Amino acid sequence: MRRTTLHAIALCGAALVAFSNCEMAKTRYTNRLDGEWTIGHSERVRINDDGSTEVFEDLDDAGTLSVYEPEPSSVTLKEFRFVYTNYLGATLDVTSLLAVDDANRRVFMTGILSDGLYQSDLIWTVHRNTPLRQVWSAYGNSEQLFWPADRFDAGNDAYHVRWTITLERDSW
Amino acid sequence: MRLTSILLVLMACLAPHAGAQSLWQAEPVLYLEWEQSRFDTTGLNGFFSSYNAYWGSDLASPWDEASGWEFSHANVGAGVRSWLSGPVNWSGGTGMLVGAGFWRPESEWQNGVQNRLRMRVIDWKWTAHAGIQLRERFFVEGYLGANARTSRFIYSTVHQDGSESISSEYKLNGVYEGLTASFDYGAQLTARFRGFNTYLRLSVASKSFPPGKGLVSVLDYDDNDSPPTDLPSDYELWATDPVAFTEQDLGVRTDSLEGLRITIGVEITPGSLLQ
Repeated sequence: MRRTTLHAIALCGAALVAFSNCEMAKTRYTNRLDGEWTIGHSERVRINDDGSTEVFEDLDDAGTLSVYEPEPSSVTLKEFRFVYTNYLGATLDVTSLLAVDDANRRVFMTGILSDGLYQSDLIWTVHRNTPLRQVWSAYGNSEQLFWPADRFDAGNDAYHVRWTITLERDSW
Repeated sequence: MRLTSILLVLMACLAPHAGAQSLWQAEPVLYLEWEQSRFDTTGLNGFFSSYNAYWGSDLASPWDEASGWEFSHANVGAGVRSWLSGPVNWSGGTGMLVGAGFWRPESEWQNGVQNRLRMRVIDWKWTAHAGIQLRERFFVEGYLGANARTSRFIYSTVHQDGSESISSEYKLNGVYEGLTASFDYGAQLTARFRGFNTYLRLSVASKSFPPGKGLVSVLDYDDNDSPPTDLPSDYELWATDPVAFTEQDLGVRTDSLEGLRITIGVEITPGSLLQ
């Protein structure tokens, strides 16, 4: 009887511990991003209305992403420097703050987009999240890449653009 | 974790009484139940209908409105049931359960772009019930529960090539989250058969307690962008007059995501399974 009871308690305990694991604090994605990354691959694709795609940029070693502690230090934000050279040879070199959502589904490069009046975040959709490799995509439409003036009417765009970068950690 | 520890200690203390021929008996139980739950559709259907009306024929396939039963789901958990014998036989129990519900509505534009809402709710609940035993096998009990529901809605744009974006090209894209805390009250009828207690429970979520929860909206993370960042219950006002939208606080409210629950479940006695 006593042995049966102990088994029962162990079974209940295991079930409860399993439930508790669901409540464990989420790994801080920003800490994972801390350090030096190479933009190992950059691909820009035009997505047409009929679902066909046209690749107009296919680059290796397109730049770097450095993520480090901001001053003053922050729990939720990191500072970053993003240096990227596109297929036309133009270089983007921006420094700002980086954030992620609690679901680890989006990465925000805060305030780096502007229409001359307002600033907005460049928001990446996270496709792959590992310690050594990150794959992110940003999307634009035919009107203006990455911060269209009309961000409401998805039915009014002749085509869309997807920019996918693959980040590879420089050292581990 | 603290609640888990307390429950484990409680179960360890109760275990020696299991099956004993005493006035008071208790035994640990595992719960497996289906919760048919209905939520107040006003907020979400307000979004769907106003979005459909605003874009009209631009949409090849508008949003379908919610029936309110979409977040029904299974729960599993563990707890304790006890009996007190006397002139009237009393019964009671308490437990902790968890379960998740999913729903994925979509709409589509004339050019083939789709909007998708991946909706997920996770319920963490503490349950308590007490009542009297009728004849040998039946219990009629009052029910009180505390429920914490985390809701996560991922609003995405699916492009014509199938790639799914939650980036910044459209303003509604994003991850919306909200927490609803509620106390449930109701009644349940339990029938005992061969170590299994099968129960049918009817309960409702309190709408006014804990106070203040009605002030919580489902929020996006993108607070660096221009407001408003709530998932709107009035899309037209959100799109055309964001200042008025914010002043009128017309985001989908998390407390609308709780309501009536009809639960059918079984309490499994681990001891009987392990013998």
